[in-house]
Parts: sequence; structure tokens; C-alpha cells
Amino acid sequence: MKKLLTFILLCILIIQTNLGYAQKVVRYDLYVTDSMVNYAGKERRAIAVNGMIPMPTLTFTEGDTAEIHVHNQLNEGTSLHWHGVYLPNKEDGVPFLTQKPIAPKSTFVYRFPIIQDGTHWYHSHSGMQEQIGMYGAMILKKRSTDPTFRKGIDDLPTIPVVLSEWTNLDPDNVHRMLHNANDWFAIKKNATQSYAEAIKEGHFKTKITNEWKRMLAMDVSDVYYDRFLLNGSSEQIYSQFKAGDKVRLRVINAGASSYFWLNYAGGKITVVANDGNDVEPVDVDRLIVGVSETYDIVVTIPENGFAYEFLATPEDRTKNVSMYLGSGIKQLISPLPKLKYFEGMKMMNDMMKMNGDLDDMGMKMTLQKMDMNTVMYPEISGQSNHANHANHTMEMSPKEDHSNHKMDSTESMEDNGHDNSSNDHSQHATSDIVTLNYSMLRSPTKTTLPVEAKIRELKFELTGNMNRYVWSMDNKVLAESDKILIKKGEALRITLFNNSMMRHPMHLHGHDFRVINGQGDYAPLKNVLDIMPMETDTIEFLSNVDGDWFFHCHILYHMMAGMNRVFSTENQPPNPYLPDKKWAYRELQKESNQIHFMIQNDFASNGNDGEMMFHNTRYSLTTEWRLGYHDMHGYEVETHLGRYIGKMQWFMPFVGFDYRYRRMDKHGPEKNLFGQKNSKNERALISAGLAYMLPMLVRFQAEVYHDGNVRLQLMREDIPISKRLRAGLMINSDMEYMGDLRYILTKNFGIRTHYDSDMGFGVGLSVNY
Amino acid sequence: MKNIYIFLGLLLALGLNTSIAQIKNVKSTTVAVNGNCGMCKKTIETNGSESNVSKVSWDTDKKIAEISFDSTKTSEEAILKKIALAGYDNAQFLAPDDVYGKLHECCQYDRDHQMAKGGPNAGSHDHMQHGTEHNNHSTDQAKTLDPIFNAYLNLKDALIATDPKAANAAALKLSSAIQKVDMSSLGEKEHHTWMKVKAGLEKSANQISKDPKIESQRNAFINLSNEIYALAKDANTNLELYYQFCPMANNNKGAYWLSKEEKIKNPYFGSKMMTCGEVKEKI
Repeated sequence: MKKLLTFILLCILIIQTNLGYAQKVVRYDLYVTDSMVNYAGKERRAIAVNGMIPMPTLTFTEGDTAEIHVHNQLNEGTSLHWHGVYLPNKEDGVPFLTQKPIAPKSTFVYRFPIIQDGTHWYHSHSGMQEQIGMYGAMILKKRSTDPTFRKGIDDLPTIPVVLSEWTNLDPDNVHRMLHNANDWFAIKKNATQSYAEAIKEGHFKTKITNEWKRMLAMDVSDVYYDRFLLNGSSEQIYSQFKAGDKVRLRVINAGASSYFWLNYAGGKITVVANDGNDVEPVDVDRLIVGVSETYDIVVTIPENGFAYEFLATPEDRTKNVSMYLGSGIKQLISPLPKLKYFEGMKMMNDMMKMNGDLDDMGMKMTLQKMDMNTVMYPEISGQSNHANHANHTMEMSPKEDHSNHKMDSTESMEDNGHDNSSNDHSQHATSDIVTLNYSMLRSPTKTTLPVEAKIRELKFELTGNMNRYVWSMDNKVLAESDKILIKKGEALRITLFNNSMMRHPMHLHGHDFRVINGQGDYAPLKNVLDIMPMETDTIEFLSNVDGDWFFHCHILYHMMAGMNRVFSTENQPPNPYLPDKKWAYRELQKESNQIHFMIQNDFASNGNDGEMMFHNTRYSLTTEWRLGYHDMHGYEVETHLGRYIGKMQWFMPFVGFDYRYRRMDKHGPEKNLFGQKNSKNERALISAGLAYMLPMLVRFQAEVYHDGNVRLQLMREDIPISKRLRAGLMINSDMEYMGDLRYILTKNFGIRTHYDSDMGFGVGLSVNY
Repeated sequence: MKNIYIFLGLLLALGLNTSIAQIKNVKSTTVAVNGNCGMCKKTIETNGSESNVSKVSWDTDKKIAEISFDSTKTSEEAILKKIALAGYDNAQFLAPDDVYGKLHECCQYDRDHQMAKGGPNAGSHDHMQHGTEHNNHSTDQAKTLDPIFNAYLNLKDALIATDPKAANAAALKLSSAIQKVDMSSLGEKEHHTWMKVKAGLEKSANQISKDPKIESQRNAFINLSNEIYALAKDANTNLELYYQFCPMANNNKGAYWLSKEEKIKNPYFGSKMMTCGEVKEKI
């Protein structure tokens, strides 16, 4: 008996030491360098790592220790974040939160044990570096002895598919343009949604209602991209596969702001994992991959002699990229047809209350099950037909549809099988296209949180303001909010409601959360949650690692606009990489409340007309000028410093300073609507006033000057007449009025003609930055 | 004044220049592209050509396209992909099935290969129809009336999709299928019913084929469905059909239709009330 026991103990000892040896250190050396690339016809700056874009694929096996040496050869700081990976907080790679930026010309070593498997990725968390090349796949392999190893799935040949996008513009400039409501991207995308286009499609009323509700034209994504990339190219061919072969694609959306649709010409797509976590296989015709999400999918090669197209289409459908599986003649799949923007506008009109809140009309929207954008998809709701718009599919009248939908979602919340919930989509779809949604994801293993963990409930409302490109949570950007203190060991249950008009892929660092999706104990684990407008979703996770964990929208430009929070465990041990956390947090806050600059001037035949603006989340400093060419026309400069109030930022009190010089001898003293006179040639006045955005996007401004004069003004700028034609109108109580027409030639130039009551008729070149 | 003439002259010269401008860095090649008729020729050529970049000319008889293009701006592959996406199989690419299915009837060339089974569009009605047209030539008696049912089902699908143009086309095909029925191959009972419903079928099909409006198409479809139902009851067919009913159609008076599937897809409302209805009978 004793012998046996010693034998067993000996065996255990041997196995353990063996395991100890198996824990190997896997080292990668990454050299981060500036480089010039030509992806879309122009030489542009990019950042390459080891000479590659995307960055090299890093492969580890669960149990390894990762050791990644980052050699920063840039002239600026950098960082690498290991997206979706469980690790100690100091290795998480968020500058000013978990470490200092890796200084130029220095080396930093990330070292952490790999304690999970799955498809993950890594990217820079510094500024806009992710947009210009710093993204790559990180594959954590499952050990073949793992009890969760799935034969027929985990042993298939795999291909990493890294999706991304490229713009020829400097991403900082893109960010600035978004904040200035520049509509150049809409022009490039053919998505201006102007009055002329509205009338042509029989949607004049829709457009009027839209502007009445103070909305600018909406799109499914904000930025125009010159090119989309799949593993760094537009097209890839994998010809080694034969009929019957199954291939596992590890799809990573490394785009900075684009969602991607996936379609396959060779049949159904089987989803087997999401965000690096296994899910029960589910067959779909297509799925959308949110920014920074990963999906593992299995596709089959049906026949020899053909190469089947695997198509990735950005949500705005401006372009696409493809990959061919198999060898021979290429079997194509239909590209996704162009979006019906006015249908989307109509839908938004119905959902938008006059105060800027969204109203889901009691539909309890959740888990991507009811994609309101479906109204814009011709492949589902039918091609738009001018003669026939009375019969629009998916009518938004709450009487019939909505009550049905409501029933649907509550029903499927209760049932546990994913077979039933998959019907939700086809419910309102003409075609039989099965689109994946979150309710169809089911973990193969139980994911329940430990029962002893105390549950703490948190609620967040995702808020945003498209007109000024302010994105926030509970109407506060990161610069306006403290870290959220949590306790290690407690469970957090977070309810998110998206009250903004865009979808947001919300990402949590260092943890996976359970998505409460009606699958009970088998709720899927994710680290990115795509939440569509008006949706309410609940996630929960156990706080089990000390540190400061970022929770943010993964659309790069939304993150930079401030849609972030930090969960911070109480009494956490100090972080050797970041001794002064208070200072660091202020630095981080600054980054998300940048000051943006805009200037425009019209060099016209009757004078110069222009304005300049510095603005951040809440404040704006503007200067407008009208400079004539002689004393009769006069010179006028108005400067205002204001603060935007409220979520929609329609209201702005301001203080101002006006200077004007104009010779009055010809036309005598001026008199305003209230009988107040002004006879001085030169005047310099301090003022106070307020501006308010009225329906139809008319800006009302009331201003009192220190000499007692009052001025009221109504102004509407940038009325989209046609794709490139803009009109503006202004009238005020000084009996001044102005009307203009501007034709947009390029991003920075336009031709403008205007009539001004002071300066008369003029034609000129309008320049804006 | 002289200046103006010089200016105008310059403009003219510029204008001429652009009109003469041709494709630079030309590379030419000939490729096999499937197709049938003059209409195909037009589609292939307009989809493959782009001013100053590429030019495609397709030979209707030989089914061969001559392609010349600016090799710095595009490639043979890119041009052929565009042609395939317009519906025409060629040496490098096969068109998506749904695009092929939407080609005009006369353009639906014989394909030597169709997309794999289980594909997202596999088994689309356009294909089946293509198939049954072939079957038409066979002497299998049992299927004499199947083209009628298939054409009817296609029309029903067009109404489900709320696509009045597709409904026009489908109704036209139904009319021609009605004309093509070889009465000598009909059984006695079905012949009898056929004689009873033929005029009504013709009338409704004609009406729908000319009507641009979906509402009135759907109204005419009520009658058509009743006639088809009567025919299906007595016809010698292998098709399994479901007789379905939506109480809300026809201004809440209710209306019937036939479908191959048990699952309800409502042709009277389309996506507005896709699943409204119930199965009344299996034929």
C-alpha cells in the first residue's frame, strides 16, 4: 500500500515538473518604425512593425509565457494593448493608465503568462497610431489536451483574417474634420442626403422632418476610407483547399471605425467562437463584425475546380475586399447593394423625440436582434422603387409591427435554445437571409459567476451629439469624470442603453463579460459589445484582477472624443511603470478633450467674409469677420466665447467683443428694429448673449451690447441643396440680411456667391480648413 | 476681342483633345465570356468599359470579348470581375447566381455550372424555373401543368418581395406558360378543370403583367390564386403545395394563396405582415 502511494506521488511529481518545463517563454521582438506607404494612390505616412502592416501575427499556446520586446524607433511615444487578453494590469498597454508611453528610441518589454486561448489581437493605444498600421493578430492556441478541445473545429486549418481600412488623410485631420461637421466624407460616400436627392426619391417630407428635428444627415459610419484591407491587401487567394475541406477563419476587425459584413459564396458560415471564446456552432448566411470584435468562423469548400469568394464589406458599402478559397474559376457572391439612406432617415425621424432623446416605442430592442438599419438594406427590404414608395417595406407605424417585435424579443429572452431566436431576423425580412445576432451565441460551458460574489449594479447611458461630434457616457466625457471605484472580488452587472444615433462597440480591458442574452447559465463571454441605437443590453463580470481597466467605445474617433470610463479597484498595489497615477489620469483626460480648430474665408469680389473657431467638448471661441475693400463697406469683427449647455448642446450663452469701423456719412445713422440708433463710424463693444438652435437647424442669437443696443439674429448655414451645393440665410434686427450659395469643389475649396445688405453682391473663392 | 477668339480656339482645342484622348499603356486580350444576344452584348460592354481606362467589345456569335485597357489603371481580372458581377460567366469568374437569375429571359445563357448547393442563393426560384423550362421539352406527362404552378409561385414570391416589376415579369412568364400547355397531354380530369380556369388565369396574368402598382397586382392575385387552387386540386403534379389564408388581406375579407412551403410568407402584405396567415390545406 505504501509502495503504491509513493509510486503515485512520484508520478504526480514527474507530471508536475514536466508541466513546469512545458511552460516555455515565447519571445517576439517588434521594431516599430515610421514608413511611407502607397495604399490608395498617394505616398502617405504609416507605421510598420518589423516592416509589416498589419503587424506580425503573434502565436502562443495556452501555458506559454509571452515576452514581447517593443523597440520604439518612432519620434513619438507608442504602446501596445493586448486586446481581449487576461493579464496583469501593468502589461495592459494603455498609456497614462497602466504605463507611460514607450519613449521614442527606447525598448519596453511586456511579459505575461498566457492563461486562455482564442483569437485576439493587439494594437497601439496611443493617439491615432492604430489607424495608420499598428494592428495585428494575436492567436492563442488551445492545447490539444484541453478538455474543451473540439474535434472537427479546433484541429482545422486556420487562416487569420485581419480587416482594416486606409485613409489618405492624416487621421488627426479626420478627427478635426469630424468635429467641425465637415461634410466632405458624405460627398465622397455619395451620402449627402441633400434636398435635391430627397425630392428625386420622393422623400422631401422626410428631409424636412429630419431638419425640423435638428438632425444633420446620418450615415452608418462617419469616415470615408480610400481603401479597405484584408491582411493588408485587397484580395487574397488560398488555393490549397479541396472539395469538402473545412477552413477556420479567425476574423479580426482591426478597423479604426468600420464595421464589416461577411458573406461567403460557398454556402453557410458556421460561427464557432467570438472574441476569443468558444460558442456552440451556429450556421448563418452572414454576420456583421463590430469594430475590434473577433469571430472564428468555419466555411466549407463545396467543389473542386472553383475558388469561392469570401467577401468583407464595410457597413457603409462604399467598397469591399475579398478572399478566394479553393483553386480554379472564381465563384463570386453578389456585392451588398447601396444603402437606402432616406429610408434610414425616415426611421430615425420616427425614433427621435423633439428633445433629442431616442424613443424605442416600447420595442425593448436588444442584442442586435432587430437591426433598424434593415430598412436601408435593399437585399432584405427590396430595391427602392420611386413609383412605389407608398409601399415601403418594414413600415415604422407602431400599430402592427412593433407589437409583434415586442413579443418576439421577450419570447426569445425566455427560451433557451438558439434555434428559436434565430427566427427573429427573418421575421421582418422578405428574404431568408439568416443574419447572426447576439442572442444566437451560446457558450459550450457554464459561464456563471461565483455565487458568493456580491453583485453591484451599474447603469450607463451612451450619449452623443452628431452635430458637434461629442461622444460620451451619461453625457460626460472622460475629462469630466473620475475613475469608477470597484472592489476586487465583486461582480459588476452593467446595463447599457444607447441613446445616441450611432452604434458603439463597447470594449472592456482585461476581462471577458457575460452577455445576458437568454442563454441562461451558458451566456456567451465577450469583451466587446456592439450596441445599436436604442438598444439596452446587460453584461456582467467578476472583478478579479487589481488595477485600472479601461472601458470605452472602440471606434477610434469616438474614443478620442471622450466616450471612455476607467474601472479602478480599491487599494490596488502600486504600478511600478506609473508611480504618479493622479498626474497620469489628468494626462489621459486631456487626450479625450482636445481643442479643435477650424477656419474659413471667402475671398470675394466685395470683400472678405470668414470665421475661425477653436472648440472642445463644452467651449467654443469663434471670431467672424466681414472685411470690405473700402471704408464705405466697412470692417467688422465679432468674437464670442461660449459654453454649450445640455446633452444636445443646442443652447449656448456667450460673452463677446465686437469691433466695427464704417463711414456713415453716405447713408446716415443706422437704426435698428427697436429704434436704437448708431451713428459712430467706429465702435468697439462688449456684449453678452445667448444662442439657441431652433428646429430646421436655424440658429437664433440674442445679444446685448454695453451701450444698451440689442441685436436679435436668425441664421441657417449649409442647407444641403444638392450633393455639393450649400445655401445659407441670415437676417437680424439691425436690418441686415445675407444670403449665400456655395458649391463645394474639393475638401478645402469652394465657389461662393452671396448678397449682403452692407456689402452688396459678391462672388469669390471660399477656402476652408 | 481678338483675345476672345484665341480663348475660344484654345477651348476648342482642349475639347478636341479630350475627345480624341485614348486609352494609354494599352494592353489587349481576348477572353471567353458567356452570353446570348444583343442585349447581353450591351450589358457586357457597358459594364466592362470605362472611358480612357478600358474598352470591351463582345462578339455575339463567338462569345468572345476583346478587351483593351490601360494596364496602369486596371487589370484584365478587374474587368472580368465587373462583367461577372453584371451576370456573365467568363474565363476567370462565375457570376453570382442571384445576379444571373435577374438577367432578362433572353439573356439567360446556358450555364455549365451553377453555384454549389447550400449556397446562400442556392435553389433560388430563378434557377428552378430555368430547370423547368428544360423539363418542358421532356415528354413526362405528369408534369404538363408544372410550369404553370412554378410560374405562379414565382409571381407569388415577387409579391412577397413587394417588387411590382418582378411581378410584371413573372406574370408575363405565367401568360406564356399558359399558352404553351399542350392540352393533348393532359389527363381527363385535369383537362376538364383546365378548360374551366384557363380564361380566368389568362385574364388575371395579363392584368398583373401590365399593372405597375403592387396594390392592384395583389388584388388581381386573389382571383388568380382561386383559379390556381381549383387547378391544383385536380392536376396531376408531384409538387407539394400548401393552401394558405390570411384573414386580413382583401380589406379584412381574407384571401388565399398557394405556396410550396408550409411556413407562411404573405404575398398580400410583404414584409409589413410577413407571417400573417395560416395553412388551410395541404394539396
